[in-house]
Amino acid sequence: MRTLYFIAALSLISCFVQAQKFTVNGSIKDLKTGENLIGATIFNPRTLQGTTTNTYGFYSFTQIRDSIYLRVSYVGYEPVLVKFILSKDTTINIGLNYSSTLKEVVVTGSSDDKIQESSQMGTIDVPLEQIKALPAFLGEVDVFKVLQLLPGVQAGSEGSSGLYVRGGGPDQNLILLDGVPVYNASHLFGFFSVFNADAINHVELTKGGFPARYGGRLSAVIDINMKEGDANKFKGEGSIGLVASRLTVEGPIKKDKTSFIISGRRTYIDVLASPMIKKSTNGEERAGYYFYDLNAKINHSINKKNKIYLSAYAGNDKAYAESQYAYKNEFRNSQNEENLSLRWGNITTAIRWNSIVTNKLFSNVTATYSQYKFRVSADAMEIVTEQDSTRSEFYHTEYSSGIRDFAMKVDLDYIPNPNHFIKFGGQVIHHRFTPGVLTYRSTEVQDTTLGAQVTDALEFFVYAEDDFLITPRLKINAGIHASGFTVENKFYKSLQPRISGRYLITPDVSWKISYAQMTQYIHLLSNVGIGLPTDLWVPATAKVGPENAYLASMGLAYNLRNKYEFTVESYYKEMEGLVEYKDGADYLNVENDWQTKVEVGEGNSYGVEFFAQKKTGKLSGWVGYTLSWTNRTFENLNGGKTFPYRYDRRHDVKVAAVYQWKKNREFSLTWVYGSGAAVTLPQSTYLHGVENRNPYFETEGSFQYYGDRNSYRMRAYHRLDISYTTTKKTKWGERSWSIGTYNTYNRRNPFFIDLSYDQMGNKKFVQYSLFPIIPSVAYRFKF
Amino acid sequence: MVMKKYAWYVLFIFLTACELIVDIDVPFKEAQLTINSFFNTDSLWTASLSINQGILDTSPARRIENGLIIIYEEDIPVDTLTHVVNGVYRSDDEKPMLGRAYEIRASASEYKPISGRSYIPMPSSVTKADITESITIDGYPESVIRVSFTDDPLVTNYYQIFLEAEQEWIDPFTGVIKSNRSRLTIESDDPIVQNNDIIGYDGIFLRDILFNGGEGTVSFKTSSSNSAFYPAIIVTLRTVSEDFYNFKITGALHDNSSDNPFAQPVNVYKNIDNGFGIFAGYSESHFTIGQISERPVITAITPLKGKPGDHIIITGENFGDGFSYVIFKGIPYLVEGSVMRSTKGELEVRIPPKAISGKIYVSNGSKITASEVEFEVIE
Repeated sequence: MRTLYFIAALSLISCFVQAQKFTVNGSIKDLKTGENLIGATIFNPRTLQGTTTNTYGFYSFTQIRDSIYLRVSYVGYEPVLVKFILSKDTTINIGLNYSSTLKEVVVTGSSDDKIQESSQMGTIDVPLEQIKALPAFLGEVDVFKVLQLLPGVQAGSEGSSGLYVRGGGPDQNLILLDGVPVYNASHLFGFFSVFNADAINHVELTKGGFPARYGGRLSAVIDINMKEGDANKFKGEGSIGLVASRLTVEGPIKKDKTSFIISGRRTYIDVLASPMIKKSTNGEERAGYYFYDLNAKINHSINKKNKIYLSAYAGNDKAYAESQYAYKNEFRNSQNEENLSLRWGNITTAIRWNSIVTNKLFSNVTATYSQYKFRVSADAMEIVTEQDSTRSEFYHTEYSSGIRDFAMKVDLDYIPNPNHFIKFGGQVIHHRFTPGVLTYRSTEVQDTTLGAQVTDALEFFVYAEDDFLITPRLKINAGIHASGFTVENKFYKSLQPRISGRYLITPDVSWKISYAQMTQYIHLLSNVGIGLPTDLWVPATAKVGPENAYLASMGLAYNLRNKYEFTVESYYKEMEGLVEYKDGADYLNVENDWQTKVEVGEGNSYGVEFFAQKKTGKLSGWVGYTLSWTNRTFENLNGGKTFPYRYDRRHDVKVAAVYQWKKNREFSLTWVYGSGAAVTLPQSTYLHGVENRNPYFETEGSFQYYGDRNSYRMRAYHRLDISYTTTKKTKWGERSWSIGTYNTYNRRNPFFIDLSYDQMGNKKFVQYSLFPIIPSVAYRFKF
Repeated sequence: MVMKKYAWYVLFIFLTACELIVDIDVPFKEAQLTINSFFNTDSLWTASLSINQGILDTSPARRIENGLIIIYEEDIPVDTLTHVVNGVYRSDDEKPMLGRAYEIRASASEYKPISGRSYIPMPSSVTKADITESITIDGYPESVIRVSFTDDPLVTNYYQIFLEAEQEWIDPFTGVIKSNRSRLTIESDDPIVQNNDIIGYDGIFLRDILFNGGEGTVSFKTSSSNSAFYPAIIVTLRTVSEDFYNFKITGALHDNSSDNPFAQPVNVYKNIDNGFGIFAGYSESHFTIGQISERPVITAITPLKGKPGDHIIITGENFGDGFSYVIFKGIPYLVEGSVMRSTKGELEVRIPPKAISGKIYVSNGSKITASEVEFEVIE
């Protein structure tokens, strides 16, 4: 703690003892679309100093009065060299040109944000072009499924879009869409994530060494930025796939001043199936399932220094079954109607004001709204007309659960000189939890509500961090995150130190270490742990406290000729206050308080991750390997003994590659391998007792004995996905066809294991798999 | 619930018959002895002895008939059980006593000896119990039963409550009247009930955390109008040992989760060292809600013969007011006559088709009486 103050004091002093210096600031954009480039590098080759743009494409760079060169670069873009005389504070906005396909030549020798030079650890950003180029399940590009291909990230069960980062659950991920937390990031019971790749500009995953600006979750931050819309030209893109179709349009409302983007996606299984169901039942029944996503964003430059954004996301899943029967004879005329529906979805909105306060200070004020709601309802109605009397009856039941947030956030970036990048700010969130309400209404019964345990809670935090270059070799990012949470007259607080740093051994190799403490004030109660919409978000309460994590990591980063990046990171993480359902608890029984149905325990996770990445060139992609251990300890589960976490995987290999041998031909593949998931299996059976047993008549049943929890391993999981894309310019723009296969060599990967009998009548374990080889085709277009 | 159903539908659509039989090396090193013994003060010591078997072994359970089972009290042997049949052992004359700590030790050649300890807790008694009939919000009859009982403040107590109704029935082959008790299926959303997710034969279980030392009151319901069917309901209140409680609760959770591959499996509580099974004591007390009816008495049948379709009058006492039924001997065994009119002292019955000559039985809902005389059915 004392060192932290020392560093803070040091950094403040160093701001004042400088020669005459001026500041260059501005923003770096895509020349064509005006889209902000996040993390672009501004580098002065003479002083060997540099900086990067922040989340809004803004940079500030203070240099000694001189005639200076600036080299501005960004992965996949042609770098720009700017020369000017710095004699006063200057604003320079730079547009970079996207070097369309053969990126290799362009990138060699450019100075991007080099991995060994960053003080950050455990952060990976995947270029969006790469996300789109990799094979996609059923042709549906999914950002989360690409993140699952990174070391340290597990996919959970087959086909699921959940992310299990370094032994944490999906509830421990802070998923931010334009700064707004998204609570349930899955569609179709977890098979797809809610993020439409066409509407996204930038994705960054942080799995350790968390900077002070992030908080509120234990294991990971997934920061997703939506595109802002082309400020110069009206354009669009879309795709038609097996599962869903997408369309995105963007363009200027007022050139260079206001732009918009709107992007939609919808599945159409129901549209195709519904007429068939209707026909086969003479129009009496209807059933279907669909999901959709809608992203929209408007941004408006008030003047050069102020910008306003309004972004919104709405997504919903709905499964429904409706039936209508009519029966008529000379005495009686009856009509029956029944509707069942199951719906869940998120809505997020954010309004944000970016302001360049001074050329060294950048502020960002955001007001956000986020909600997740899950609802099942059943309605039935019957109208009977007999002779001259009519009677009608109805009933309606509905179960709903959800969470709703209002939040206000202020972030400030202060860049006094190239050796410091200071961030500070704070946030206040008002949560409303509705963990399960059953309402009932019928002809005889008025509105009846059960289990409406609405809980309000207030969460807030302040933070300050400095990315501080102490010597050319040593750079640290030190900060502090202080948070508090009030619920039911109970106040929880936590002070979380964060530090990470690098030491350059050679210009290409650095040592890195980091330590972070995280506190999470909300819990997710998950019944099967595969990310079903029935999972409940609940607050920390007086009885069930918040979750805490302590994470230390250490590693090496190596940059080979600016083409290949290699990192090795080892980590150790402790988690406490984790919540799990008790054995056999019934999660749908809303009349009982959830707090009586959970167990609180601890967990740990440790391992080593190896990662080699090549971001550009004809052949790009990465290879990752993780060796890890993840355990849980709950006093009342498994007899208090430590047991492996369900997603504990000893070895984990990931390969992702995109090969573009011609400008319009692309082949990509991904291969994943994971040691078998932990599972509990019965070992033996024994007779169970009966009271007052009559030895002559009664027979006893038997119990299965399972041994320790999760003490067996399923078979290893591995899978190859491939995809081939051909692109062609057309009169109106560009079109491409992609064909691919999921699980190409048809590996029967384990989904679950059950006891059954073989053809000979022998009792055997039977492994069930979910997806065999699945081909896919998708058509994409741009105009 | 609707939701559960949908989740399963979706899963099964995706579960494209991808089955694969796999050989998983589940170690089964050696068979261990399994002993099951429940005891209370009213019954002789009884235990059953068997061995566990590998999960893939489908042969019938092996019961151990040549074992040695001895009951100890503070390391002093008090009784040796003798084998009766099918691996069940019983004491000749010894009954367990209240408040003593017992240990059971069992051994058999080839197997490691096993042991377990338990006790019989002090009984509690029901102070009050009543039943109210009501109609649920969706229009079905239900009975709400409230049971109050005293709780000993000095110890943590565990309780089991179940309901039984006594019924008599006629053995169709011999015509002998027999009686048995059947348990009623009950459920409860009372917060003091711990296993309210489990509806079962074993009734409900509770711990005294919410009412320690006071009077415990618990309410639960049955899904039909019981007081209409059964004039008397017997409440059994068991004060059970912690072993018994843990065994029953985990046993129910085990049964609920064992056929669902997505549920986290639950091991059943055991308190046997080096082996499997349970050794657990309990004590029992009873309380009757309502009145056990008097047995009907038949004084006269007029006329004493008739043909199917004819009406006869049975006079007597203690007939159920509206709940009586009359049984004739018939083809193949017994047939029920239609009761046309029923009072406590007189029944008018129509002789059913297929009735044959023999005794006539009258039931008032809980007790049955056979006529002294044989009724003659004429063709």
